[in-house]
Amino acid sequence: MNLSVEKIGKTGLTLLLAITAFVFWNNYYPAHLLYHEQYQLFLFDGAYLWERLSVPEGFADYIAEFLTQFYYHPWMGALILSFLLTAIQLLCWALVKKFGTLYIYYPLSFIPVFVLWHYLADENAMLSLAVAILIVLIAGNLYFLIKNTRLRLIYALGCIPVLYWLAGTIVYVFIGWVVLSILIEAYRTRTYFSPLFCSLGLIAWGILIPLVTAYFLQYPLLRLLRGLEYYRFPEVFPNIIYAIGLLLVLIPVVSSLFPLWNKRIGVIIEVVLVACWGYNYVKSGCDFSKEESMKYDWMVREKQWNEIIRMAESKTPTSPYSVTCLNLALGMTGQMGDRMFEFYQNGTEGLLAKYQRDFTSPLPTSEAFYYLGMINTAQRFTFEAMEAIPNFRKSTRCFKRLAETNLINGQYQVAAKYLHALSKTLFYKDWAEETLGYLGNEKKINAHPEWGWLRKARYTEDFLFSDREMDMMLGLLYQHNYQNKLAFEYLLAYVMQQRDIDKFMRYYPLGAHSDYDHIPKHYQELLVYVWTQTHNSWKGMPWSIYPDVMRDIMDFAKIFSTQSNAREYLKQRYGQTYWNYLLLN
Amino acid sequence: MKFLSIILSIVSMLVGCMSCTPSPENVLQADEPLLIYPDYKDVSIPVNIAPMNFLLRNEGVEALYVIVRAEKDSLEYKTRGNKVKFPMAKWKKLLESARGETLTVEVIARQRKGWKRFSNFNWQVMPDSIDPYITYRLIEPGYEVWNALQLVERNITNFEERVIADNKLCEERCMNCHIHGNNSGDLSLFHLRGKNGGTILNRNGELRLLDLKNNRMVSAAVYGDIHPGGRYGVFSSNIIIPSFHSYGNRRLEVFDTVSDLAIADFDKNEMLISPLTSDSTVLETFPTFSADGKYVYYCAAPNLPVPDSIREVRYSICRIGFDSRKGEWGSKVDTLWNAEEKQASVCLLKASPDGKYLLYTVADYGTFPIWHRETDLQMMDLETGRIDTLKMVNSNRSETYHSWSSNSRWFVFASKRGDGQYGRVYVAYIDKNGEVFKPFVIPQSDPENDDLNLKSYNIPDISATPVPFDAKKIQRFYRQHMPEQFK
Repeated sequence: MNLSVEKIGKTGLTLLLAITAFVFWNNYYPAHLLYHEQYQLFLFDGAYLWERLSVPEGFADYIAEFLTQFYYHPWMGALILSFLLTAIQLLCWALVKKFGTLYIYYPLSFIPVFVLWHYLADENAMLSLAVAILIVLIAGNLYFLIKNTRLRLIYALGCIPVLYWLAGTIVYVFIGWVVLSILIEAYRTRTYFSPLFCSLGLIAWGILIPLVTAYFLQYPLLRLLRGLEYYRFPEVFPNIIYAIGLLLVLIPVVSSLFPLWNKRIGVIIEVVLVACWGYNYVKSGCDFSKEESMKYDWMVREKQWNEIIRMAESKTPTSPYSVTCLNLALGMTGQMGDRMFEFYQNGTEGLLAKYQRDFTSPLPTSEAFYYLGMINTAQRFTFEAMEAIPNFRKSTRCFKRLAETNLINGQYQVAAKYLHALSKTLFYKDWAEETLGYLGNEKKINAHPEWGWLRKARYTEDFLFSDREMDMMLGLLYQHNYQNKLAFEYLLAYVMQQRDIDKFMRYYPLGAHSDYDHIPKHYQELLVYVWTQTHNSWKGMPWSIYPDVMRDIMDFAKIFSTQSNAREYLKQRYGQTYWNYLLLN
Repeated sequence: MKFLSIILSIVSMLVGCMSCTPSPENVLQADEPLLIYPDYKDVSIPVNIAPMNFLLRNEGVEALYVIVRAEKDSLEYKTRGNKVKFPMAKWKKLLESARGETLTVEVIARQRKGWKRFSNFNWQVMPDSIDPYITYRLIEPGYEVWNALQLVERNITNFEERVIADNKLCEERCMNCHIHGNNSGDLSLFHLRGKNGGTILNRNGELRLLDLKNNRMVSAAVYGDIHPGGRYGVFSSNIIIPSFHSYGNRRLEVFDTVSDLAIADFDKNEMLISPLTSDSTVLETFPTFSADGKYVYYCAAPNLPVPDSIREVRYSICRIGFDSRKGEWGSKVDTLWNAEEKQASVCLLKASPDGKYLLYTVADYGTFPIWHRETDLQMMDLETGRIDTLKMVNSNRSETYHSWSSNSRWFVFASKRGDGQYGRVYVAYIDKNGEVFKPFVIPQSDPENDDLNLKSYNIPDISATPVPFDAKKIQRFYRQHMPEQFK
């Protein structure tokens, strides 16, 4: 292969990787980036930096958090990931070359990158691993630039503790390269004693460092030996991290053993094989159903109510997490009573889910509580979600919401605490500084379109909240302020989801206090259902029901009562009615 | 770590030296009041306290000149910015020379329009020392979920802080707060919850893991105290139900559906139970021994249906005898403070080591004062029965979780007076006549710490000596031991 073709080919493949990675994260997986961004609070603050640097792997973690904050704009996140993956591939190739691997095996340098990409597609995989790999690759390449054997050894000895502290246990990859290069050299020169001694010494040195660290730091030894921050759950260490490490160590050595061939077709086959495998492997690491849920959640954060509904219209969500977002969007746009049962519903869990001790599921529910005006409950769900973040990090999203709930509740000093922290961030600084101007200014808060309204909507009397009597909680909220139509819609939706017709009929008249220009469709469906259970004709029916609803219930009842195997047909024809939820699900 | 800290300190010192600190010139009298955090104006401080560092919160402060004057000595401090951080050695020397004197603190600050002199304030240096060590639990003031929990021992004569237990090292188990017996680091305990958990008892450095429960108790030991003799501990066993407030800053209400008392005999591994303190119609909780160990003080309330009647549940202060030689409960219960008469509820009783006073928390109702804004400390003179409402000590936020210094001249307590959410540790002086002085928050090396720290200081407990264990030792001990059973 001539030189220019080789160069173009290599550049082309690397460029293709960069572009593909950018397109993937920006177009197909952006909600994962936003998901990551919300579960950290990167502060431009000396104490914060010191806190990170005072533990092994802290530097990589700090850089990773610094970069992750840019995920606030997914295109920036995609750019960063594209850059990182590309840089890793290039550095990986630079290192592979040092072992004498032939240029035709350039595609092999993509293999660790695809495995890392697969890993990063996991929503709990932290970027610190990618940063750590980059650091160790730089250190590895520098090692091979040193020609003097003694200097190399001194460099390696010094590098091991530094790398352990900066990048964590990925240092073992560095030790792997150094030891293998020494052993290969020993094999070549047939001098074994000194290289073997050096190799064992380096391995022992690598093991000793975490052991010494364990003496000074309060971390379980196993975590210091495995890695602290590569995964969001500290107790979990996915096997794929071992695989990445092994690949990084073995690919340079193994590929150096491969023979030279000169057939272009062979290289093309190699490229195609690596690309096909890479595509499938990355794809197998992706979870697009989670991506969908995260997208719903993100749209709730951004108050993109109509976009949420549009997305659900094209594919109805089924997880309680997403359904909670959809129902909130329907409520916020005043469509809950008319459209809720057009979409899949999973009971009250898709409306106001019970608290689960994790860091994700309470957040959409806390959003619903917030917009309803149940400020204390929204605060509790938010606070508890943040407390449940497994790696003990704080959350920008939660801080923002906690500042708001405390501001609404008049707890200005607590709100200030959150706002002062947010004012040390890059993307929340302006908001925090503007919000600080609201603290203590009752007039300004009351005039704010959202906070002012929520102050009017929230409970103003204290009682113990009971999530086992959620309908009563919603009823009290609505009775406190009849302008709170969302509370009324949630109240009726809640009992409808419970299929509690008696309660619906008890609460329904409260709607007279709201400014409905028509009876929402699903309420009509329930009302006519109740009517037909007790009456033989429409005469005397007190509600204004659409004629087509009356006609439909008659048809539905006829088919339901006469055809024993009409369930599927009814589901198809009346799948978007409350009758479907009530009688067919 | 220490080495790294030294290097960083040297670097910051060098950087500090390079930027010269301005001196006051053309000083004018300030026409605004001095705003400092913490509120250290006119407080009484122990002679052995750490430097009382503070922040100046007046707007636009660029540089500071502070001089603390005693009769024969003085301490000058100049800095850029608004943080006053006195050097340790000079501070110690000043306090030692000013024992029993009043220090005058003069603050001159450079603002945009030049140097201003603010009104002076005073520090009364009390000759009585305070016990140096305070243990507390650092926890986010949340609801039900806990995350990182640490039991920490702080030396308040300097800024050293030591983690003595860390849930990260103990399978992320919940840890309850650490209490001392006899204000000694050689006698203490804390609960480690969860599977194979129990109460970790430290007696002279010997650790034991105890399952303080028998089949007559409704739960393992919860709130408690250690007998001055060290052989016994008195505990409540409670079925605790949390509930959440819908409005305002009262987050959490916790109430008991059942609660009784039991005394643990640590030598015989036996729980001693009396029908008088395990009455199913009465909720008994928060027991503590008298200074001489001859009585158990505790809180008691009629067992009403909760949560419906939670606002009617009010705890009185009761007392029952205890014979430590025989290991027997007394046969008579006295009510020292009647909740129905007072229309209030008491919890967390602590007798002063000199046996003179009983310090306790009073709320409108219930048994969980942290989120009750109205919660205040009160003190009963056990000889005369006189009650001091401690107006000088209390604020409009919760004050609770108090602990006496061994000389009975100081007590520490947790208060949410700062921002209403994050508890901080305050210290108050009580003279030999029982007069109590304005409290102050324990000083921090960086006075901004209280602003930035997102943890509450939970149940501060004070001791004359440090505990002889650390988090690593607790980790090893917990891993290697199964709880000892009690009958």
